[in-house]
Amino acid sequence: MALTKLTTSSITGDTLAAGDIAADAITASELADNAVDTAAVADNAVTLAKMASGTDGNIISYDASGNPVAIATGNDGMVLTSTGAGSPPAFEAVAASVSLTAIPTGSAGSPSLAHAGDTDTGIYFATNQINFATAGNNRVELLADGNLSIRQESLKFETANKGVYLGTTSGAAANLLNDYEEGTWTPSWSAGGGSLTGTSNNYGKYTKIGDMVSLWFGATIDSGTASGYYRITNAPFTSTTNGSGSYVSSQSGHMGTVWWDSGGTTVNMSKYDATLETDPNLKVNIIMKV
Amino acid sequence: MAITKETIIAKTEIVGEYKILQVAYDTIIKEDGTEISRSRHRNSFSPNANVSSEDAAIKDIANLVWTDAVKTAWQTKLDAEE
Repeated sequence: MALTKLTTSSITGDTLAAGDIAADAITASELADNAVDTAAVADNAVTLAKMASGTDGNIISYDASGNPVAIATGNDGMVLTSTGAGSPPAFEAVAASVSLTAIPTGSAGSPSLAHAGDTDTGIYFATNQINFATAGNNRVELLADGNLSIRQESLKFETANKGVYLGTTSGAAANLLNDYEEGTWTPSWSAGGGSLTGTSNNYGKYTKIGDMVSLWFGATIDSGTASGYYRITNAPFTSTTNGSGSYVSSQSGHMGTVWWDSGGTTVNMSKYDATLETDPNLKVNIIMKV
Repeated sequence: MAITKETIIAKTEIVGEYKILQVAYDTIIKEDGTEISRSRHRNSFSPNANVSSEDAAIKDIANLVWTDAVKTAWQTKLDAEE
């Protein structure tokens, strides 16, 4: 006798065990449309192991029809990028430059670009201008006309003998201005002949710009038997050339020549006459190449 | 508030054939350890100079570079300039 058709109501709970249904006995043709719907699948019932195999690295998304699609992995270094509505995302190469146009203008106290640990130090903007702030103060501006404006403090090189090439684009050593110094020194006076036993009001100042040194010095020659010429023996820098100049004295009408030789620090001053420069002093200003 | 003043040798240069010693001294004023002022004073010493009262570093350099040959050459130069 043939079996009558089984209906759902004729199968009570636990009537069928897993071993009662042969392998492959139930195929799609045995299942009505929607026979296994969302409600029939328990939570967490579909594990990764139950999903179809795919290509390593691919990502599942949906196409314009809402059907699942695999997004190809792309190449090393690519980033996942939206391709817009109606299209699955794609792995694409990072653009060579990124334009960030939504950055706010900012201010010195709150720069547009700063790191979280120091929010008053960074970069901010004005029209056609980039500003650099530290500790909430506007320090440096790159202006619309291309000039660099240092708003506060000075330009300071952290390595000695570095400077600025002036009037050239070649970086030639002859155009490098890398030394400036100003200061004082105490001239040591003597005489070309006889002796010079006393001076007062002795002073010496200098300014060095590159290899050019300006010297201002003088003294009252109080006593001695100096003849021929006066001299100082300790100019602050060593001259690389012979040189000459002139001096004047507060003593009425007194003047004379000044000369020095290459390789030393001695500067000579001719005596005007037999008297000493006591009223009140001899004044010299010369420029020396060092 | 503590104001301090110190003088240091900022730079020592040995220049040219005659080993002229160029020395730069910096006078530094500090307030509570923070530098508030610095000024420079220089001196130079030729091979016949008396450096006995100078800083030990200056004397050491002078003794090293002012050889008899240098002193003789320097004196020859001075004689030629007289």
